[in-house]
Amino acid sequence: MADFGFARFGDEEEEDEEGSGYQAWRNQRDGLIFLIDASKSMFDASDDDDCLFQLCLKIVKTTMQNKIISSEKDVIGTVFFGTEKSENPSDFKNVFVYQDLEQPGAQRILDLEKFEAEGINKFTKQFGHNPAFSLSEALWTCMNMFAKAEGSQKMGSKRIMLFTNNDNPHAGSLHMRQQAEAKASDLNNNGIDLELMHLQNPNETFDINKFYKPLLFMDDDELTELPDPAERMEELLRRVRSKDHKKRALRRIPFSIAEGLSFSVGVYTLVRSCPKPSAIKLSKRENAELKSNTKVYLPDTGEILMPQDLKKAQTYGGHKICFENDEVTGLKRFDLPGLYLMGFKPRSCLKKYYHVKPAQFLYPDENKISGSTTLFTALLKKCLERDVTPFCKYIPGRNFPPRFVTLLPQAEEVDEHKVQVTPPGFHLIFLPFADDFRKVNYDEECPRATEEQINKAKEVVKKLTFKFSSESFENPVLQNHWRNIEALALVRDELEELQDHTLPRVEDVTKRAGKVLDEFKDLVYPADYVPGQKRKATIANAAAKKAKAEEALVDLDVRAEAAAGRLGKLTVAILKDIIKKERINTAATRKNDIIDAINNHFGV
Amino acid sequence: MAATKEAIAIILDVGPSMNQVPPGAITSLESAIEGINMILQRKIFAESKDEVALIIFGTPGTDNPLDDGESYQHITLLRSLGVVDFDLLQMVQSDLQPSNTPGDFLDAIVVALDHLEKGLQGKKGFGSRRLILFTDLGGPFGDQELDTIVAAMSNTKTELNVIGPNLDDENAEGNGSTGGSGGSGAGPSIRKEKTSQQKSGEALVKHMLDQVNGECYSFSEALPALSYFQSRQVKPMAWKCNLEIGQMEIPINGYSKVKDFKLKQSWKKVYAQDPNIIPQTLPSYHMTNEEETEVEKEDMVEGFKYGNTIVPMSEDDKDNMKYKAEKCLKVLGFTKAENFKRYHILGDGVLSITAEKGDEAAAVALSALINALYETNTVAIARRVYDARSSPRLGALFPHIKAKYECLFWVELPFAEDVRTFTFGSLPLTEEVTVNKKYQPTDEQLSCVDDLINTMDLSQALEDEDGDKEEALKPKITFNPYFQHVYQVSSRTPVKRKPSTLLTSEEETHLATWLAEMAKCGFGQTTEEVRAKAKAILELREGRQLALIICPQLHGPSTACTEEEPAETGPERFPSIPACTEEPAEAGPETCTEEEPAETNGETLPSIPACTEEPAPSYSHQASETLEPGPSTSFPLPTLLSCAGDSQESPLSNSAFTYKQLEAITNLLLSIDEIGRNEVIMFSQSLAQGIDLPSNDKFGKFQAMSYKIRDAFKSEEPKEERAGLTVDDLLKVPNFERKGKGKGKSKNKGNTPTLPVVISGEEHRAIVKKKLLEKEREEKDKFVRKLAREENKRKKVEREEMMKKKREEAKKAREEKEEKERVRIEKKEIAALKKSEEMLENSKQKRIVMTAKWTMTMPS
Repeated sequence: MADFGFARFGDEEEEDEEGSGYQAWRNQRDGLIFLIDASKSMFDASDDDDCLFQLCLKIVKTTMQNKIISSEKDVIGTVFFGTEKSENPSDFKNVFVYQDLEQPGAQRILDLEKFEAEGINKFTKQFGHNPAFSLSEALWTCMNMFAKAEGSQKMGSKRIMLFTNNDNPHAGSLHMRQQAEAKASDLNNNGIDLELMHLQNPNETFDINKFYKPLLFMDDDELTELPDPAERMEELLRRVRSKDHKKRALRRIPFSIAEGLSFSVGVYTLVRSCPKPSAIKLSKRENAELKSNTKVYLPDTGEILMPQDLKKAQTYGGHKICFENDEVTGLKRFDLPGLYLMGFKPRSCLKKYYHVKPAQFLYPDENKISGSTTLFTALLKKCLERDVTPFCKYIPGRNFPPRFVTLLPQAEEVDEHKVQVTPPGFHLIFLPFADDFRKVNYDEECPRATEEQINKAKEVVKKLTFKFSSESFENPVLQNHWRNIEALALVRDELEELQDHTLPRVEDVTKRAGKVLDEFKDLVYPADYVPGQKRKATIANAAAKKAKAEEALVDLDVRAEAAAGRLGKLTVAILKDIIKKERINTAATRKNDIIDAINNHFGV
Repeated sequence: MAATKEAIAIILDVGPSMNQVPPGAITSLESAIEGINMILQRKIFAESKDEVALIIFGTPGTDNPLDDGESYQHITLLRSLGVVDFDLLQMVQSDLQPSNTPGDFLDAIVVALDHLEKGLQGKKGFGSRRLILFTDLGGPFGDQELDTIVAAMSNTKTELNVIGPNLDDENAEGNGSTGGSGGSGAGPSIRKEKTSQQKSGEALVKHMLDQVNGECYSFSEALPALSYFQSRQVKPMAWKCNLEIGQMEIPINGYSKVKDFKLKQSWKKVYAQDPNIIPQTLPSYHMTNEEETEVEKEDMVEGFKYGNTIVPMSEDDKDNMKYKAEKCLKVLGFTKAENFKRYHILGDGVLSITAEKGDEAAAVALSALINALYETNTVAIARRVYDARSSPRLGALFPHIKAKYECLFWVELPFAEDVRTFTFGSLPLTEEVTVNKKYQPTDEQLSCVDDLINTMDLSQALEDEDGDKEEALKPKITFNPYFQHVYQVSSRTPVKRKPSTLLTSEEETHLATWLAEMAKCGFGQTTEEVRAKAKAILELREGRQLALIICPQLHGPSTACTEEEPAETGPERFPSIPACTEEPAEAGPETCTEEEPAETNGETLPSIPACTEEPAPSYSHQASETLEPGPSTSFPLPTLLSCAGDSQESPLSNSAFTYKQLEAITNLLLSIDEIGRNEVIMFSQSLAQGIDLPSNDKFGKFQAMSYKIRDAFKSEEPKEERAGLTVDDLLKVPNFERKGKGKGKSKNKGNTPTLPVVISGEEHRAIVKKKLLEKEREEKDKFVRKLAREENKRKKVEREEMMKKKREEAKKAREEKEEKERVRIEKKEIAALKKSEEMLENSKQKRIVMTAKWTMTMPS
């Protein structure tokens, strides 16, 4: 199943808030190498199930597809170790670079699919197995690949995901073990993360302490307890997914508690609407992407204008008010970037409908101010204990006007496999200002439901209750788009069928709640009620209205009304009646024209 | 055709009672002008198509259509119905003058009603009418036509808002009339007694408001209320649809409840040399080769990228691929409220869903659903498509039940693709967490945070006039400072500045220093001494002229000033200081806080810790500070003189005193004898300490004068073009000390900024100031004459005193006794001072300890 996720995550945040200097950030690319154990045991499987190796290939393919969609600039490579054949620049034995570190495209996906389809038997023929590999050399190969790829452009993050089910590859050789440890330390020094994606076949165990523990250097800000080894596709996919993107702080800013006491936090985006990618312009002939250029010119003379020839303006009350560009940014400048603690409020002060912008997430940043993590932890702990929320002024960057935010504390949660479900930290909830509230005129006379009707509604609710999670709802528009693009890119004959989860399953609903819904309907609606249609009574109403109008006309001294200039208050229908009654000759249909005609008639 | 526009007639009372104020308060007229200014500004910036007319009454002349020479007198139709523009704004800001002629507000209402009626003839799209009446009801009125008027208003469905009188509460906040000046919490209140005229006026207004649709606000309530005028600008447009649950459909209307407010206009690029020319843009497309060959439109095709694979696509392909959806709101199911994650909400607002207007069956159905959701703590998950062109969104409907209405709120929720799962390191929140142990906070650190939470509780930080605690910084009444800033800056239209007749900076420095000390010392010197010193200071630097103007009595009778002199000589002798009226208000406090520690160190007195540990919003604060350092004892005057000598470095070197300030100072000076020196000391001390003395005439007078001085020095905003805005202050960390906790800073309580601070119109104040300057000459002349009169009076008193010379000996004896008393008081004060200092220290220490502790854990 293709799964299209995370398209262009978090980019748009910076676009609507100009002048933030994050462009460099956005253009950064990440590198990821899948380092897969190709030992014999990875291929052991019962007849029906896929073996662990196949699992890995699927993961590689899925991740690649996701990366194409979510961060197309990232480069991905795949390396096998423990193979009979060898292919790598350093001529190490038993290490095979299957795909070099490159931007993935349709071809690679097709290759992987073919590989998978041909089955694992072919693999044995093509690559073979050989347990005499050196993990150190495998890691070294990866390091070289990063070094080579980085020659052209620096990478934002470098990450190796090591897939294996062997908890002690160099059981017999202390020397090789030490070599592997030394190489792992090398990787760490070079800014390359090594992530262990340990697997196990049923009835096997994986003891991380036997070999791997010293190899894993993790940053404190990603350090959690190591999850259980994965056996199944979903577990593995989940783990890969939580690690396949290096999390990157949108910004790192000080959090000031009082003058002279601040700590540093990273601000992250955990949820953001990801848009459908927009089309790019291609030249027909070369099928190559074009870049666009926009010139600003004077309409009269055609003179091309430079930025310094321009000012910014707003028009109010007929006045054009001009500002220099830096004045416009200056207008937004209030204070240095940061979070400023204003105080604490009980959680209940945060109303559900206080919403103007998607939330962000705060996690301490130990690198800028050491001690940050401790203070952050203390604050988080106390806020959780006392059910209060810090209330802050938030200035994201130099030229950002301030907003008030409430920080919602969250404790860490892990699932049964010790994979993190919710991270510890504060959700940063943007609060509306008075300007953001709209006045809604509620009809205070609105009839309310009776106890009986409410109880029936409760039955409906009960029948149709499910456990909601955003994860089970894919965006049909995006899915549809990428399915189409993928089908074209991968030259598929048939489109993968799209299941739109955002459409209610009518049969299911009817089956589960049809009866109750009918009862509810009978209870609240009159027998002849058709939703959204004007009631029959309106016909009668119209008649009544007409009668009333005529009645009004009788009472009306038209001449006096006209003289008093009050004709404008009458309805067009009445005015037309007047015309008829007074035999005024006019073809006017617009109210003003009719009034004019009547006025003329009376000589007013 | 939707009738969405509103016709508004603003009726302003400029009659005499609007301009009579208790000492130290802003006049009702000023508040009213500020209010009107705000209404107009908001109309302009919201680009409202509403039309506004301006009618003022109590004018010396008469100019209105109903004028027949007998009735409807003293009412001027200043501006007939029209869309608000800058001219009107300017007119309000500079052309409105107080008058001595009372006007009849009922007559004015009639004129307004008549004008609206006529003005709307033939105009389309007006759905509502409103009268906004600014008055303190001080003028006489004739109520013969009341019933007709009420009838006319209900017939035309005209809403009436009366701004000014304080109808229902007798013990309302006394400073109410200061309206927008913000933070009026400090200090005992001064009340302006209601006249019987006002009382009967109020009865009448009450009666009218009962009959017609309308509200009455006091000036202090007006500004918050005015904000609603603005929110009316976004006329709610219903999103009509059927809420579908299976086969059931409920017709609903959706209205935006909360939506991220944006400036109505984006910033448009204009040509710098001529803003009226809008430059055009021309996009072109180029190959990425070295020549950057331009590609013509015919040779281009659109496409998408799939990794490094490029997929071209024709228009037909694109159409075929498009996901098609129809407008709908379909419930997919219901889920427990805990599955609905607060921090997952997407989009930029909240939609309120109510039943289709007028459809009672739908209302009942929706009500049943809302209550069912509420009682089961459940939310509905639904798919919403705004219209056929837009993409479906996933979202939640949750119930909202109020006494007056029920509704569902719709918020957008993320799809699977919108949620990113990042792994963050575990934090040692509990003992069970085994990783990152090294970051575990100690118990001590945790209790630190506990204290922090206690002291910085915002939910109880504000105190309303009834003494009830309430939440500070409520979103609903906190305005976005950015928009306020843009509006204020944009509405600044260049106004010609009049040459000022103010003092030179040096003179001011002396005077300010002297005054500050005066205020601080509780007037510890004998009057004669003070006068002499003051005179010396003033004369020190060619302040002779000035001395003449302010205190002729310093020079004795021979120096009666010539009448034309202040205004004429002003511009020449004292270089005018047009743009640099840099916070005269700071004169007082600054000398206290900045110069004092330097001077007092080494003296017998312990220096008072600067009480500005947390700078609070300036307006509300400075006022009280002028008097706050009261607990200090008298200062030897030489100190003063040396202060004055340093004037070159003084931060005040660019400031200016206003007429109001001068007047206030002089008044106080003159009255010291009358009130009695010891009383003055006692009063000033008790004032500064916030002790309420049993009121007697003397105290009342002194209090009034102190307030006048205080208010004369009250902040007026810096007026540099496009200068930084004081809404900054709003966002400074406020003071959270709670009253009664003995933290020593209770004086500063209630400074948490609220609405009036944010929206108080600096613009307005600037204009008022300018007007004041224009009136300066006139008033100074008047003032000088008054002084002369008072001087005479004083001499008379002096003569009488001579007669009673005998008594003086007895008085002297008494004075000696009192002197002892004074010393005693002083001692007491020092003790009190120390104590208050300790308390201050304590509270400061809370933070300092916190800071220190953390600093230790943080080797930065």
